[in-house]
Amino acid sequence: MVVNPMEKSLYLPKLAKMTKKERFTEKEMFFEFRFDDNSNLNHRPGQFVELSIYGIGEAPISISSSPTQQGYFELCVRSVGRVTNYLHNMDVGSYVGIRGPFGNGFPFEKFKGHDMLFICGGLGVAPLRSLINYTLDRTKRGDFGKVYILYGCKNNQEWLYQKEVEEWQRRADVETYLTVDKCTDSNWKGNVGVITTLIPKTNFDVNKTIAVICGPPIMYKFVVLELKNRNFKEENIYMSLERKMKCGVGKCGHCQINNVYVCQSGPVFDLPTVRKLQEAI
Amino acid sequence: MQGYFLTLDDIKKLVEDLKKSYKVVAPVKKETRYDFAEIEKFEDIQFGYDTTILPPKKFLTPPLETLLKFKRSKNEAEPVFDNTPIALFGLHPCDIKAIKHLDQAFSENNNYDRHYLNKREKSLIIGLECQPYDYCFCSSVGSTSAKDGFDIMLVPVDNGYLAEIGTEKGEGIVRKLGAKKAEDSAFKKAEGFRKEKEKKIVRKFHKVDATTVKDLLQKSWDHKHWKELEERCLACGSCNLVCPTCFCFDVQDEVDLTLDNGERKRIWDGCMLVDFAKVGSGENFREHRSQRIRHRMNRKLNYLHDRFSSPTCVGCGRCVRACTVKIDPVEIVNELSK
Repeated sequence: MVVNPMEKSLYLPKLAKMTKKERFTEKEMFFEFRFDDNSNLNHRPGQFVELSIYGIGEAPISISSSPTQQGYFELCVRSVGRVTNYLHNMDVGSYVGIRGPFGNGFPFEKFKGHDMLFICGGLGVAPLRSLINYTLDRTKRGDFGKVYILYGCKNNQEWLYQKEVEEWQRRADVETYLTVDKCTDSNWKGNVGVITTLIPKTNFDVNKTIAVICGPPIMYKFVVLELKNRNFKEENIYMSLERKMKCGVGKCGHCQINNVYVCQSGPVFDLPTVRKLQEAI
Repeated sequence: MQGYFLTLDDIKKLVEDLKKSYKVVAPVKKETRYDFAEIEKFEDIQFGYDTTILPPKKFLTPPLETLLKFKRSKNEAEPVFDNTPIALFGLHPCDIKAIKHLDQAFSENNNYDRHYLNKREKSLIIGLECQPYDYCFCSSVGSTSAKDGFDIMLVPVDNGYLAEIGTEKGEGIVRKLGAKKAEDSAFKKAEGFRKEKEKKIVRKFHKVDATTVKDLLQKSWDHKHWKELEERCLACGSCNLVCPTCFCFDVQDEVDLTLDNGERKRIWDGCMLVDFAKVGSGENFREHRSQRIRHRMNRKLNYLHDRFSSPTCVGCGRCVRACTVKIDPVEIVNELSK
């Protein structure tokens, strides 16, 4: 047995203070957090934290800000359970517990020199925003070629990061394509249809583009099919997968897909790896 | 291997010595069956027990274990470690192997779970060679005898026991008794005991063994038998509960009546339960019982094999005995390999 003398608990969070809060939609809110010692979270885009509120519980939340944003980190949280509902009702200035960052994150070093195609479905934009903003950061922008952002949500009321999406739309070095599943609003003049309908409309070069996908579980298979129709190479397709992640440290067993723990080997996988995991998508 | 000869009186003295510095846990009678419990006196120990209702894991990773204590109004929390030294006495080879797997699980990926490891590092394991009972299938998963994972291993020989030494700590304890080194004949008797035992294990995988069963599971992803099992399985999680290598857990917060002081606890969880892989959005990644049985069997016989170097199932047979509808890993494996 490996003996490690460190008397440390893997489960003790570090306190972070909520410094901003903004409602995006009926269900989703945006939060900014800072540690009192001004330290950085030191995460990679694509990683997640375990956010805890003593007496309520703990929940895995993907990190939504780029590591180039120093001194704070941002989360976009949908209220779906005890912890997230409680968090939505907390005031700016309150403290939460943070463990992490956990998971592998995106291998962005490998993406250098490539064009980037981001495919975000609904709340999937939250983790991808971390990588998008990293790619678009002026200190990193030169590392990447063209940037395409495809973003779809249920209807015109469901947009997250709306102001930033508008900025992406204005930028000359980014092609942004938006779609809504159903048009419930006469003001919506854009594309109507699921996210896959945007792929044939995007003029990327399959030989030098990396596709990064995140969205609801149902989305992946269809997006992959559509990318394959465009002759996308499997090894250039990456995705971030959602699973129940109770501990974040590869112990509790909940996030297991076949022989991997998503909190350890994921949540980011390339398509060839996903192909070997029968349960993945 | 080093070995000493111990009489039953020596063992009695050993246990009584241990009680001075350890919480001594051993197999005791529980109604018509046996269970591991802290013993009051040496005579409580059931040397001839078949197997216990629950495996000894409950002392190392308890069903309900406090990880943190917190005070909500101050946003304060501190970890809680139970560092009571525990001596686990009378463990059969399968249960010893199971604890080795728990050690691996709680320290893999460079993530050291001190809540488990603190207890484990202070613990003492004294094994006891066994006779097979109706449900055993240890020979198919390579856990019929233990070569390591114990401090002392007791093997019945004429008028006493051969005490095989696994660690320095174990040797120190035996030496203190003033026991004499075992003669070659005792080692031969012990070998004979194990050979006889192995012959008596009749429940077996027909076409695979401990090293090849993972390949069978890998090939059997789409086997129709999973669907057949779905018709029988009640998804009650009894198999998880009694399994010596099931370590999955859920984490929950509990607060006292002040709503201010509370504890964060981990609670045994089971992959056969419907909510195990269900996320906040309502998506359930293993909604069907057939998926969950397949997951559990793979986890015991395939998924962890590469990381833990053997099947995590140790063939103790507790799950078969606990299962209301008698779902049996041996039958499953033999059906898959037909």
